[in-house]
Amino acid sequence: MLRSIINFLLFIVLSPFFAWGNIEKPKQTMKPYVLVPTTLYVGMDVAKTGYGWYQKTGNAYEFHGSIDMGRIVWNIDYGFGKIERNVLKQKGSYSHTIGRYFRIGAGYTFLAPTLQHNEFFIGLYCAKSNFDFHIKSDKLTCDHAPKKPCLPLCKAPDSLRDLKKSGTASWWELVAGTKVQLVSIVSIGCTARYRFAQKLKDRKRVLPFDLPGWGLREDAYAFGYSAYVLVRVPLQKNKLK
Amino acid sequence: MLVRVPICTSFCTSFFKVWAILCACCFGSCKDFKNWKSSYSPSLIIHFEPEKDPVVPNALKNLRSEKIQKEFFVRSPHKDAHNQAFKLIGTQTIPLNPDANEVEFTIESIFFCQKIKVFYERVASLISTEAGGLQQAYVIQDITFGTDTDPNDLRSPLFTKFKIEQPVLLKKDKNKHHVTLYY
Repeated sequence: MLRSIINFLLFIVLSPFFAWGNIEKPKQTMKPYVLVPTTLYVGMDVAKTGYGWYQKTGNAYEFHGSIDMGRIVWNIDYGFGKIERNVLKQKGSYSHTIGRYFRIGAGYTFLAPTLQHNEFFIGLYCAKSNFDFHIKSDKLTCDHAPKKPCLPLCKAPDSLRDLKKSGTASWWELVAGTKVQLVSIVSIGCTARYRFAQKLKDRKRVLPFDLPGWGLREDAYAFGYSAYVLVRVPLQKNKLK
Repeated sequence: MLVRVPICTSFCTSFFKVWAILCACCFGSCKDFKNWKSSYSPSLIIHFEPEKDPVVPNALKNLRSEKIQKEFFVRSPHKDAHNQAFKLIGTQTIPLNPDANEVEFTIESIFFCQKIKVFYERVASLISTEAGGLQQAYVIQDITFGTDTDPNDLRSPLFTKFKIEQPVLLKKDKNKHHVTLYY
């Protein structure tokens, strides 16, 4: 099962190389009206859902929409779901974060418009996440060897054992990605993300373990990826040069 | 009109390589959830310093500071049953209460006595679900100086002012002090 998932992810990652021949030597390029949108892409991030399912952290979904005006690509992403890590019985700790996030940004595609509307772009996104979280643990700063029994110092006081709060976080993302036609109006896409400048609005009393759309809250920066399955909707009549 | 230029093709090729490496890093890297240790310290390190003259460099502000420097003090409460006397030179480590937002202690000698109250904010977070459990960051907010309420106690107060040097108590700062108390 794991081998199949890895093969699928590798296929998604390497797909631009398979399609490179088509991108490199397009037989027919378009002459679009650059001030009018040419193509709308609507799709879903299968990596996000697959990762949550494989890691058993809960259901997570992310939808993607983009519209291109010549070489400028406008993107919007909306994601929601939960991240749950429940090892209360085995390790005494539990973390549950549920929320939603959206990203909005613009990119520049380096490929000349073709009939397939393939894209290779870099861009900058602004992201915001709203979430509720719940953490539980019976240990406090327990850093001895795993096989040794806990000391009285490791026992968390009652006031800390069950904590709940809501929060808002924002950050920026530098992205590089591609969209390649698979069949007919179906395309696939990959985006590699570098997330930075995370800001958590309220840092008092308790902090979450995970941030929806970001990853682990403790990271000052994070790498991420998306693998999209997309439906392409042409908005202009294909005009050949 | 959009024109394909050769430089764009070579740029795209190199960018694809960078992008593929980035993706490979994302797939391959993951946090070690079993080896996380708290980066926050639960102990406050206080540094004592005589107040300096604002005009004359390296000169003490008053002779009282010199007298205090020679005196031995004890701290109470103290976790050690054999509470050893110390001089107000260097540092003292004060353990903070994980279940409260303040800690109070007294530094006293034959001629001086001062109650010190340190106010802090606690921010809890999970180190890892697999190891470590919770951790608390202590953020120093304020310090107040008080005297003994006993009217028969004629001992003088010690400290004149304080400075919060490092508000967040981090383990990596174990050789640095968080607060300076001036006498």
